[in-house]
Amino acid sequence: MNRYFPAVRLRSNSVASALAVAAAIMLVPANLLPVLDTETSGRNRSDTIFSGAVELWHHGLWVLALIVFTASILIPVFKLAGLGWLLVSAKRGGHADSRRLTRLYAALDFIGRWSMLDVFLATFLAGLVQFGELSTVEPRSGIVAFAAAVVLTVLATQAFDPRILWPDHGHTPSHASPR
Amino acid sequence: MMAKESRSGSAAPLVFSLTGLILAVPALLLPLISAGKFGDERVSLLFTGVAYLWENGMRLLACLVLLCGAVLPVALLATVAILHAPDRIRWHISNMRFLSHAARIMERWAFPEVQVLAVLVALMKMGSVVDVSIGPGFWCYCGMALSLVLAQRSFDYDPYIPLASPSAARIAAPT
Repeated sequence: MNRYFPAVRLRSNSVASALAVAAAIMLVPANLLPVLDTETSGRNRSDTIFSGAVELWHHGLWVLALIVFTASILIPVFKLAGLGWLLVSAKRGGHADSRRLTRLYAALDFIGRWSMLDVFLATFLAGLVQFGELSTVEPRSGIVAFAAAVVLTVLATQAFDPRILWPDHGHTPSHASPR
Repeated sequence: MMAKESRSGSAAPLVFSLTGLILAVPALLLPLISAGKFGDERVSLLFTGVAYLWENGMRLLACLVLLCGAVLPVALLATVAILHAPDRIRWHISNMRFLSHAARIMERWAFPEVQVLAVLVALMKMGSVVDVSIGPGFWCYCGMALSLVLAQRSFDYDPYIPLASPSAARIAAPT
């Protein structure tokens, strides 16, 4: 057993936990505050992430609604829940599921980026749809909170060291050894 | 290990990254989308939304979008190109290790494929409100994003990173 790793475990766990908790806190305003204000022909509409996805659904854009719902609501929640599970597993020191947990970590690492969809979407719409009184789109504070939550979840995933999931920390999985 | 070739051949990452860098120029300069309503037409470049956020006080968000959607993808392409450049123009090995670490970090924050999806979603969403048409910059951006994905898939980070480092362990995690 590498003497270096107890310190790594402690640091990795505490930093990742702090970032994950901060991300969870930021998700609350991100989902409650409006992310976009839309004005079309004098009609104003303020949308949260969820109401934006519901609106797409009501307009018959089911695929888009599912994409937005998955990227902006399901993925952040799944990522935080998964990260919580990894942190608890690492704290307990049970290494029975090391391989599965490491795969979960890789999956969380991969899917996190897709949550940025709503941030890019709001930015793009705000830049393009500026037609004065005919139609305008304005980003609102919810999108800032959401972007912060996404950044914090990505940082939390990066701070977590998957080596602490393995019984012998110095070794990496045999099938995943350097090519 | 240094001589190890990727699945697509040792030159593949260099070819893909150079292709991406070439496509990045029109992607950043040409119109992505044009939108019109009752004769009023607006053209959106990659930076239009970022500039709007910046001017409206959301500067951190503007920086984040600029970094993840434009700066880091281009920087990552350039880094991969340098790492796979012919020996006579490559840097000292310590710099190569630094670049490889930097590429690893940039890879986590460069999201051009997410930006592509966001533009497609925006296109469909705006279709009912305004008349939209896709500009050449969008196709170039798609090409750049694809080149980046292909360059990353054929890029072998390991030769430059000592195996004992935390980054090496992260890289070795199964996917």
